Amino acid sequence: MLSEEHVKGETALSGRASARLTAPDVRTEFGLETLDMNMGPQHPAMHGLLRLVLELDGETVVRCDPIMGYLHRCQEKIAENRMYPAVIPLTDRLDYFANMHMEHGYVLAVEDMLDVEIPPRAEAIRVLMCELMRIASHTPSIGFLMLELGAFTPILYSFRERERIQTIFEAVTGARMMFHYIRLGGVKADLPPDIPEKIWEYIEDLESNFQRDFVDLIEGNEIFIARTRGVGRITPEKALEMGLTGPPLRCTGVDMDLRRDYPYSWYPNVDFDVITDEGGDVEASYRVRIKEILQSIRIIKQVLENLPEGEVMADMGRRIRPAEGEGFGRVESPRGEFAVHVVSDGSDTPYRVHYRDPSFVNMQLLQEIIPGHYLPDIMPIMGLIDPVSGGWDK
Amino acid sequence: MKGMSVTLGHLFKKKITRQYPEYKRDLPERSRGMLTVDMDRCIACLQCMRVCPDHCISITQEKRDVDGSGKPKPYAIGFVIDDSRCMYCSLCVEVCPVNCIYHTEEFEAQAYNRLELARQFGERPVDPTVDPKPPVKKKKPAAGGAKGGDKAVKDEADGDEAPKKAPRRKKDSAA
Repeated sequence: MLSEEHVKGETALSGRASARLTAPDVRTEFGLETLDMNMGPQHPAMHGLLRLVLELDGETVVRCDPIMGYLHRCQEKIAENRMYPAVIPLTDRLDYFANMHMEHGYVLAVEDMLDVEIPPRAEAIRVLMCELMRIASHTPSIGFLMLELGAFTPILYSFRERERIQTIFEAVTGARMMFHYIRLGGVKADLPPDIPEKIWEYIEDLESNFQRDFVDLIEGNEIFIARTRGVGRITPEKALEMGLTGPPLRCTGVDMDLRRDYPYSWYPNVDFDVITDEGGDVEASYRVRIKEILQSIRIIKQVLENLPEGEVMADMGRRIRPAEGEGFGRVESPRGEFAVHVVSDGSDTPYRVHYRDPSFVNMQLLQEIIPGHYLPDIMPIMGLIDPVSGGWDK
Repeated sequence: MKGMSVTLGHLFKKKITRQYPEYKRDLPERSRGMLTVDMDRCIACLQCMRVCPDHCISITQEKRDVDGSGKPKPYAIGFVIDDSRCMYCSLCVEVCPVNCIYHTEEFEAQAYNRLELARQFGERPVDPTVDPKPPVKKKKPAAGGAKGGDKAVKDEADGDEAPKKAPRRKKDSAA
């Protein structure tokens, strides 16, 4: 049954309050009955394995408890038993929609302890790959959002884009998803000679299709606007309080991007805008993602134009054994800030590895903003956060 | 209606999907498929076995005078790659000093039984269920626990060097 504070508390009903809940005479006359319902873990529209325990009043959600852990693989504990380079293929399995960013975050943390000089070409290739990965992650997230709203076409177009990027990745790294490409001290191998041209070709194709397939098709649609405008609205204060990062934070108008604010790797050498939006709802997060893809294209072009020559791997020796201490690295993944904290005890396996995953942190938002919304609004809100199962469960 | 025009436009374009089992795309040069070993070149240095994070390579070593020089050298009499464990990270390929272990273009592995996925390369089969590497021994920090001062961690680091080299082959008589 619904407790008193759920009914009266303003925070619990930040969205559209149900008339039955707020009108006391209705409650006294008929009594208040709520229905508990499980959504997931195997739900066709759910992002990965997530169970939401919902308390429903009619079609309005009163309480939402996300229950995680269905994909927990003890990533942090396994990393403690592996040598430093052997953890990189595991980080690929964290956020499987943005593998490059996960590798980059871990590698930055270990290099922080090692104090090595990364060759500029390696840094540029890392940024190139990460930005391609961002496009390959943002386009499906737009596709999923539209799929949840009932539009089937965008997901086909977004996976077409992702597929082409994966083909590029396969030629560069040897695998389509689990790349194991960014290594301690550089990258695994230089770009194959024909790849810069292929990337260039792809980027131009994407640019010419982009307006038609992702913007015109979606943006002005009445159904899209009706289902997303004002849904899942967050204030900037709330967003900062919840520790949000990435597009969910930037869509509320908070101007924060690690690539610009705490520049790492090759980002100081490229010019790009940090996209913000004032809406703070699902529609605003869609606009932020669309514009970020265009910024990624801009970054890729700049990197390709000024790709430095030289080595792609620093000389590190085979056995990596950082001195006792701690290393910290963070990257702006498509979902937000991905940070890694590595503690070394001087041996060749890490003493402790901790991942701060944006999906996990942004998921806190569910409890806060879903109450008060209608049941079908849950899925667009998931599209706003866009969590990945491998990320939140680690 | 605008959406429909986009859809119609795509109707007349080249198809982007392929009929997979009939049509197979050429794999790029760096593609990481299933591993294979050239046993003639293998010098049984066991580096691939040690570096493998998933413990999927298991080698039985024997001293044998292969080249007739009178000096017996290590020889891999048993070599198994367990594809049910392999995650295609390519660490073993990078570490091999004679390039005898390498990726093929095969990627379609299927079997009714997990043990069928363990592919034997040597003369004598190796039991793939025996873990070739003992778990990495890691000393617990002294009584102080996780927060115990730096000293405890340091002592541990010094003492740790010897066992770190330990992952040696397990004498498996199972074969």
